Amino acid sequence: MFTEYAKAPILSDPSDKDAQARGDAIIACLPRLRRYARALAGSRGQADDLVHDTIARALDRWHLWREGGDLRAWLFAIMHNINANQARKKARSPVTLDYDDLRDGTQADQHERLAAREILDRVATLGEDQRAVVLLVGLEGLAYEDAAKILDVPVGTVMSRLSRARARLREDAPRARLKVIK
Amino acid sequence: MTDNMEDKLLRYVDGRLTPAEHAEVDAWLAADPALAQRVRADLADIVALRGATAHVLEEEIPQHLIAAARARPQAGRRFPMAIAASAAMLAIGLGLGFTLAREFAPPPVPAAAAPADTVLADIPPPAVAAHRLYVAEVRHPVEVPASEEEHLVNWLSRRLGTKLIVPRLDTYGFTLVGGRLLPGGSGPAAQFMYETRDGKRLTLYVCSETEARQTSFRFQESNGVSMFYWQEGKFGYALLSESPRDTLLPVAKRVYAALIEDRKD
Repeated sequence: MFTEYAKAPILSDPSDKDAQARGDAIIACLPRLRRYARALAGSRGQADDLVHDTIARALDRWHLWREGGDLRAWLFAIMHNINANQARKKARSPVTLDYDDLRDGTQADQHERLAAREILDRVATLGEDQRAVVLLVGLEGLAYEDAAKILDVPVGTVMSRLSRARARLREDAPRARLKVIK
Repeated sequence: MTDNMEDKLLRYVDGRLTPAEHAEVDAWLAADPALAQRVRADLADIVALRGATAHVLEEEIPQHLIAAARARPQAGRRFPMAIAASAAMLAIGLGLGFTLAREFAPPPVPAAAAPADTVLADIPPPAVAAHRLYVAEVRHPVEVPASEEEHLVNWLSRRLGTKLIVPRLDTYGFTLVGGRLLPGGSGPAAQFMYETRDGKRLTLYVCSETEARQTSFRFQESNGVSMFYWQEGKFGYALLSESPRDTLLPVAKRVYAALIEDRKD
């Protein structure tokens, strides 16, 4: 199904015969996979575990990879499925976010740090389905159609989830911040 | 608000309108402060979200991830690569307390095999627990991999005391990952796991039952996990996934038919 992706933003064209190219292609996807995982999983450790599992499963299933497809989209789909499997196992425990890496990794001032914590908190309270569309569309900037392929749902479902998710995020937004926005 | 308006407001926020549509929405926003406030809030959230995670893109990638990306893929599998797109959504769920139980007409059952009364199958609870546990397992989802299918089938057949068959589900996008032996309600049970090329999973659970009977085909769903289950003779079967019922149904029928066909051989 991923051969349908017309746009392949990052991809080179890896093959089993070329381990170097395969590794390079996966590594090229890692910054954005890690970012997505961080927003999905919260802490740096959990996020990188998720990325590691994603790579491992992709290599396990490399014989199913079709050359010329969108590798990043395939990896996102694998990550989404692993996370869905694991998230349900932990569904009863609240999502916890680890903000240490926010402090480590950015020169943002106190105000920006609080804003970062605040939006991640609100996204974390969304259900799994809504969080995925908010991140794929809002953070990753994917087209609705591409998000639909990754999540394996119709485009209309992506849009209705996005609509509900954003309504929820607005409801939960601190009133003071909204007034500041020009 | 109409669906069309809602649709355009979403696309406006995501920058996916034509210039003409964009101008149209701009006019709405100019005329409606509440709507404008809503759009500003959505845009502010996107900016904040990108800002909150931007530093991750700049981080040095951990060495263990680089090493994982450079690892060798597993040796080739025995299964055909012709994988169709699958609409099935598979995962696991919290299987405690099924709330939805629906019955529907069972698929045709060979007359000779059907007893006088068709009864309802009991829910096999270990099937749900096993599904939940092992589909979440990334590195060791199965005990014996599909590359040793013959050994897997012979071994589990011996333990369950029947000739097990593993239906081919490639046309639905699922290839066999492997299987494992599990404790069942009344004796050993077997679990076979299938997976699509992008990692969605499905499990087929087979257990021996104390009493031989023929049941109807039943469906239950809870917390996003769908399960079709039935009993045939001394064995209970359950097919589980996170697909909606209608998506899982054709797969369940295929499994059912494959088991029946095998009995006739």
